Amino acid sequence: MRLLAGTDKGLIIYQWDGHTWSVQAIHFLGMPIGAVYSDPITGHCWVAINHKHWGAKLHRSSDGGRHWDEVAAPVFPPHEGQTVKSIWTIRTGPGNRMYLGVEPAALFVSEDQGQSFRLLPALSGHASRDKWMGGGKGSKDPFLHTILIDPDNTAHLTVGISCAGVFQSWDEGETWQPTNHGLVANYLPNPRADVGHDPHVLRISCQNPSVIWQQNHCGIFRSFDKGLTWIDVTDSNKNAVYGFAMVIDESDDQRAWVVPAQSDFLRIPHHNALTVYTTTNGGKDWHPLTSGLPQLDSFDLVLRDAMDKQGPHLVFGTNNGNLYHSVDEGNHWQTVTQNLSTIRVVSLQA
Amino acid sequence: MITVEFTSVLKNFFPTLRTEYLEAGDLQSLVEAMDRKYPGFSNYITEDTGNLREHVHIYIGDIPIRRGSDLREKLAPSDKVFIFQAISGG
Repeated sequence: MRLLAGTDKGLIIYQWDGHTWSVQAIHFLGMPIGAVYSDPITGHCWVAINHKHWGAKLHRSSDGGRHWDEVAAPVFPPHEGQTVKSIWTIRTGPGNRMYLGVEPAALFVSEDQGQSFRLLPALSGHASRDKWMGGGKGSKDPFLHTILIDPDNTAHLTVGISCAGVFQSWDEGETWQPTNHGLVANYLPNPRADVGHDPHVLRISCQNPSVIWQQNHCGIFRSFDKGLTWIDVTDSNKNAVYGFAMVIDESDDQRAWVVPAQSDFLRIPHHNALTVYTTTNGGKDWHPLTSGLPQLDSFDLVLRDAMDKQGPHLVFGTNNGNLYHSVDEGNHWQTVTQNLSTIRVVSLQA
Repeated sequence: MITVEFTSVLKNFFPTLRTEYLEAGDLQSLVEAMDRKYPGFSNYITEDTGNLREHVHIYIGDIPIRRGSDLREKLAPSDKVFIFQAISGG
């Protein structure tokens, strides 16, 4: 098994020998990795680099990450008057379709496996756009960070935009509507507004694609109808509330793992104790998992794509460059390294 | 011929990059000429709008080009152009 860690200073590839991790390769040394994605159909591996000076760039490997070629990154049409500042997420669909979510919030599609891209303008030009917000730490604009493709109907797309909410299309991205019913944005004058929500990350169940989980700015939500409506499953003990990262079980849509922070203001673990919370009953109860994790003086925050799961293996990386691995679904953790830069993405590959 | 020099940082992305001597009437046509020699170069220098990237600097001789320029600045054959990344001062 391999582990790809996308950091602010490069892509580090680790190899697992059954007992320990060793660094297999380092690519893009010194460069800020924005997204990492392995296409399960073509086997291509994609990396986005969000250069501060030179703009967002896209790279592809066809040999498992040994060699990389830069391909043309998407650009806004000139009349849009916008520039792609960063690429947040990459997903591929059936056929040759490939989607990129970017900042400022927009969705680009490629129909030739990434050789060229076109903007899907109905989303970025949505009638609600003037109600979208951005401007958080590290971001000046709203941005599109999650893309879900419905395995039952690949024309059905679901995206997460911070801060706007969940939007869905049933015609391959040509038209869109917000689907945020049930979410609560307690920072808005109207917390149940149609748009203005902050869905930090969305995860769709492989076993039951009708179920979508959401780690939101204001709690944890779950949908049973493919993201049309949302039910609040936030931890009643108020431990698992605010956070970014979330993974769900591949074969049980009741199980999820999150790494919450104390608050949106502090963005550190509760009482400086780094803790994973898990549920086995669809969010009715949340339980702490702490064995092997620092329970004193931790200031770690786990970013939205910095957690992954494959079978019993769970891994997450933090904004302080700490990387942790569990072989038993989070019951015990081992430190892989404490010496990386900010970890933005981790990806486990069998 | 206009002399075009670069920060060595750009060699990370264009390993064969070297000082170039080009003919161009303005900065935009110079960047386009560079893009023909080094495909993809213009996307490193300009935003999607075609304007100079916010954190890229271009000097013509000792004169800095303003941030966000549309690169219509005229060039003379004896000009020396230098392209480099903005230094944050930290």
